[in-house]
Parts: sequence; C-alpha cells; structure tokens
Amino acid sequence: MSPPRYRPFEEGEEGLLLPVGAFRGILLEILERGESIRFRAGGFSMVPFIMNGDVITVGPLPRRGVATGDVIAFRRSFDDKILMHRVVVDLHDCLVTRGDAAVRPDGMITLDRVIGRVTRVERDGRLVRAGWGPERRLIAMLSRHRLLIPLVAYSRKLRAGWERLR
Amino acid sequence: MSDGVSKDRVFKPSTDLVVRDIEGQVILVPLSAGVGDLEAELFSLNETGKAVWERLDGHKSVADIIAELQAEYEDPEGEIEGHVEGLLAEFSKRRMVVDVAAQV
Repeated sequence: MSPPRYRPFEEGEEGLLLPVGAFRGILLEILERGESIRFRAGGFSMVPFIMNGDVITVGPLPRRGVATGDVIAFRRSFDDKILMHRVVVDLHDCLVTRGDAAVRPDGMITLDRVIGRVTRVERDGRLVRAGWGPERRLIAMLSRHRLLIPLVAYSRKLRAGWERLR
Repeated sequence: MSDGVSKDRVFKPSTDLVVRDIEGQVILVPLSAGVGDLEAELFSLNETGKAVWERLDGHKSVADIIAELQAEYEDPEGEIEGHVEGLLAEFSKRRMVVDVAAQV
C-alpha cells in the first residue's frame, strides 16, 4: 500500500461552519477558562434586542453575579441546549429567564446551569446600545408582566406610520 | 520555499488557543485579548495540516517534522517542506504557537 498523498493545509477558511457540537464545546471551554467568545447569533427569541445574525460576545459571569435584566447564557435543564435569554426574576438561588420575544418564560434556571453573560451586541458592524444599559431592568419588568411584546409591536406600528407620513 | 522559519526551531501550541478535533478535522480558535473570536479567526486543518499540528510537542524541530512527514506521505511535487515552513510561519505570526527556545 502506498503512503497517503500529501495535501496542503487549509488556513483561515472563511465562512467555516462549525457543527453544533463543536461550537458548544468551544463556547464551554472558553467560558470555563474565564475568557469571552464572540460569534454570530442565530434565532429570533431575543428580537428586537438581539436579531438573527447579530454578532454577540458572551463573557464569564461577573463577580457581582447575575442581576435582573442581564442576558445570560445557560444550559436548559431538559435538553442541555445552550440559550441566551434575559433574567426576568432573580430568586437568588435560581433565576427565571425569558426570551424578549418569547411567549412564555423558560422556567426556573438553577445557578449551576448559568455559564456566561452577553456583554456586547453588534449589528451591521455597529454596537447596539439599546437594551444593554440600566434600561435592561425595565425591559425585564415589562417582559415579566407580558408587556414587552405588545409594546414592541406597538412601537413598530408607530414607526411604520411615521415612515409613511415622511 | 522559506517563510522565515529556520529548521532548527522548536514550537509548541500556545495556551491562548482552543483546539477541537471534529471528525478528524482540527479546529483552532485563537484567544486574542481574552476573546475567542469565531467571526474573525477560525482555522481548520485537514488531515495533513493536523499531522503537522500533532507534532508540535515542544521537542521536535521543524526539520524533524518535515522529515517525519516526508517519510509518512507521498509527495511527488516536493510540497511538504515549503508548506510546513509556511504553516509554522503563519501560526507564529498569529501567536498560535510559541518558540520553545524563546521562552524564559
């Protein structure tokens, strides 16, 4: 049997798609090392504060711990899937999270399932500031009382009306 | 072909790197300033790139690696030497490997 033929390496392969398992392993390893990870988010559960295709940075948990309004990365209890949703209730020994566009909360998240916190969101190369300052507590409160989705829908209608008038 | 990596140098993988072996393909994610940036830098190595990477043990010199690959692979066009040097120069430039001799 002849030896295998040498093939050049591939470097910096653009648009390389990671299998889900690979992405998960990389994310967990980086966060466990206390570092941050920047990647393109997929999904619609955090619209409008994280849009499908936004580039987000997830970092380790801050020393102060997690607070209401923070968007955390956690491993969902029933399938271990990693999600990034907002903390809407902080019960100290566990949290209630909910996607900003989700119809219902995720349920109780024990602290041992929390792996990181979203620290930065970029859209079309620009930093997204809305929803990541002190107002995140208000967003959490609106979400908790099921007011966020109707409010966002109403503001979109207003904006569309305004655009038509212009 | 030489890309500025002399053959007596000895490298080992940087600790600022996450390495994953996915179905025989090695994925390298450099950690730059504490951030693993999947949008900016993500490297994949095919089987032979992986063969180079696995030999970066902090003991084998570049010449040793080239010799081992030349013994293991059929290389009628004589590409191995240039590719290994090029790959290591690229890794070195991106601080994905460290030169063992340069470490204190």
